[in-house]
Amino acid sequence: MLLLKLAFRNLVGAGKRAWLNIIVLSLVYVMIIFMVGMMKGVFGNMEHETRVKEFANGQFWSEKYDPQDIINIREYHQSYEDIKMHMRPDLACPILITPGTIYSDGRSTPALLKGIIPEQSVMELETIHLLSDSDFIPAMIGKKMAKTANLALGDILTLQVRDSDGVFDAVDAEIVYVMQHEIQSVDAGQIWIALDRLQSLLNLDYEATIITVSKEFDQEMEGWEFKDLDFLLADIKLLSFQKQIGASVMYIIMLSLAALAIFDTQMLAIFRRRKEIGTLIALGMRQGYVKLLFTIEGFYYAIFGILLGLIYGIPLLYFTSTKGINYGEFAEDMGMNLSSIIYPVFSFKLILNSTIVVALIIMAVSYLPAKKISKLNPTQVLKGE
Amino acid sequence: MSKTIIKIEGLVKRFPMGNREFTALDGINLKFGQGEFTGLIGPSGSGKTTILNIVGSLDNPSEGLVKVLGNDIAKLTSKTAAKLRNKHIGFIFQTYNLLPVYTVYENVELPLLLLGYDKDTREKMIMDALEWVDLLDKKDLRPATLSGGESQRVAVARAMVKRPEIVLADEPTANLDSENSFNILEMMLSLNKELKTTFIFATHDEKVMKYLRRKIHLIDGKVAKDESFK
Repeated sequence: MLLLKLAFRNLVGAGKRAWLNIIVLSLVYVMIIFMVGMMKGVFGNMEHETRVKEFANGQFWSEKYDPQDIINIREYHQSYEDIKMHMRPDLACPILITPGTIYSDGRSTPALLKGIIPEQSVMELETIHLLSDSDFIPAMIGKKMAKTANLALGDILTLQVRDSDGVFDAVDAEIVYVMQHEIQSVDAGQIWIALDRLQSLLNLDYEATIITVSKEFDQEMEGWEFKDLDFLLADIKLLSFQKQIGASVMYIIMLSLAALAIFDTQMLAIFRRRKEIGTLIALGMRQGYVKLLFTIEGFYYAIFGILLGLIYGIPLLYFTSTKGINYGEFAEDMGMNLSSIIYPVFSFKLILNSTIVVALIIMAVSYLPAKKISKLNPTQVLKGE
Repeated sequence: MSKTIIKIEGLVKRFPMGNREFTALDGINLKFGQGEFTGLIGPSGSGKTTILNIVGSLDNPSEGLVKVLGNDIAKLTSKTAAKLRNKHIGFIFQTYNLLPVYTVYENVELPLLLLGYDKDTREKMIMDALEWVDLLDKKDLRPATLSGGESQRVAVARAMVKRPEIVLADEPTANLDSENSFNILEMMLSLNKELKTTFIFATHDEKVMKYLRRKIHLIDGKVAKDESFK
C-alpha cells in the first residue's frame, strides 16, 4: 500500500514526460481496440453481406460446377425437375449461370448471365424487379457493372448466348433495376434475368447450375452437392485471418513504440534518480522494495494510459459502433463484399483482452529497468555516481 | 562514560581499484557512547564517509568488527540492515538528498511511512520535527523552492523525525554559508541535548569543529588523534 502511494506521488510529481507517455499509451490502447474492432466490423460485415445476398444458408452445386472455371461454366448445370416441388421461393432458389456477351451502344462486353426466380426471398436481392413490364427481357445489374459496362436504368441491350446445342442466340433486354449495394460477387461482370427466360434461351428447362437454400430448407437433393457456409465463406475467413495477422504486426509495432517510450523513461529515471534511490535505501527501504516502487511507477503508466484511453475512447468507440463509418465510393473500389457503412464491433472481450495485453507488456518493460536497482551500490548512488 | 552504542574493532575496508585493492580504512578501533556529538575529521579520502557508511549499515567491513546498537554489521542481511537504518539511524547528507517531487511535509513523512505509523501519529511527529527546524510555514513547499539552509533543515527534520538513537551527518554544512551553518549546528546541538541523540559528523569544515565535543582525526584510513572536550 505504501509503495502504491509513493509510486503514485512520484508519478504525479514527475511532470510532463510522464503525462506524455500516458497520453501516447492511451492513444495506442484506443487505436488497437479501434483497429481490431474495425477489422471485426469489416469482416463481419463482409461475411454477413455475402451470406444474405449470395449464399443464404448454403448452396447445392451441380455435380461438376466449379465457380473458378468461367470458360466451361456453360457446361455445369443439371436438372432439378424431380425435385421441383421443393423449389419454393422462400426455401430454395435455382440459379442458372452461363457466359454471354452484352452488346450495347456499339460496345460488346463479356458478362456472366444469371437466371434467377424473380419471386425468390432466399437471398436479399431485389429480383422482384425482373417481373417489371417491358417489351424486352427485364434485366438487372449491380452498380459496379453499370459503371464498367456503361449501362443505366432503362438502357436496352442485346444479350448473346450459346444454347445447349452450341447455337448462338441473341435477345434484347432492358435494364429495369440497378442494385445499389456493394456486394461485388453478385455484381461485377454479371447480369441477372428471370430463370425461365434464360432456361428458354438455352433450351435448358428445369436445369440449374446451383440452388441456394434458406435455413428452413431441409430436403435431401440427390445428385447435388451441398456446400455449407463454412465452405462457401472459407475465402473470406482466410482473408480475415491473413488481415488479422497483418494487423497484429501493426499492433505490435505501435505497442512496442509506446513500451519503448516507457522503457526509456524508466531507464532514464533510474539513472537520473540514483541519489533518490540511495536516499530511500538510507532511510530504511529495502532494495527489493525500491525495485518494486519503480516497477509500480511504470505500471501506473499502463493504468493511467488505459483509464485515460477509456475516458475518451468509450464515447468515441460507442459513437463509431452505432453511427458506423461511411466508406462511400471507397468501399466499391476495394473490390470486396463490403457495404459502404461499416459498423466496428467493440466487444467487452476485445476491450478486456487489449487491457490485459497492454498492462502486461507495460509491466514487463517497467520491471526490466527496475531490475538494475538490485545491482546498484547504495554508497555510490547516494553520491549520485 | 555513557553507554556504548557503537563499537568498532580492527576495522579494515578495502575497495577494488582496477586489478589492485585500495585500503580506505586500516585497523580502526573506536567506541561511541550515547548522546555524543562527535566529528570524524580529515582531508578527502581519509575514510570519514566510509566509516559513516559502515556504521549506517550501507556498506560492510572487509575485516574487523562493527557493532551498532548490538548489531554486528557484517552479519546483517539486507532486510535487517534496512530495519536498523529505518528504526535507529538518521542520515544527513551534504547535498540534502530531498526527494524533489515531494513537499517538505512529505519528505519528512517518508521515514515514518516506512515505519508504518498511522496518519495521526505521523502528523504529530512531523509537526514536532518541523517546529524544531522552524519550517512549519514551509511544509507545503517543494524542495526546489527552498534555500540551501532551509533544505538542510528539512533534511535534519527528516533525520530526526523518527527520533533515532544515531544521526550520521556527512559534511552537512559544506554547501551552506556561515549563518546557515551556525543555525543548523545550533539546532542539531539542541536536539542532541534534548533527545540524547548521538551525532557523528564527517567533516573538514572549521565551522563545525568548534561545536564538537569529540574530534577523531583520520589520516589515510587510520585514527591519528582522538580528542574529547567538555
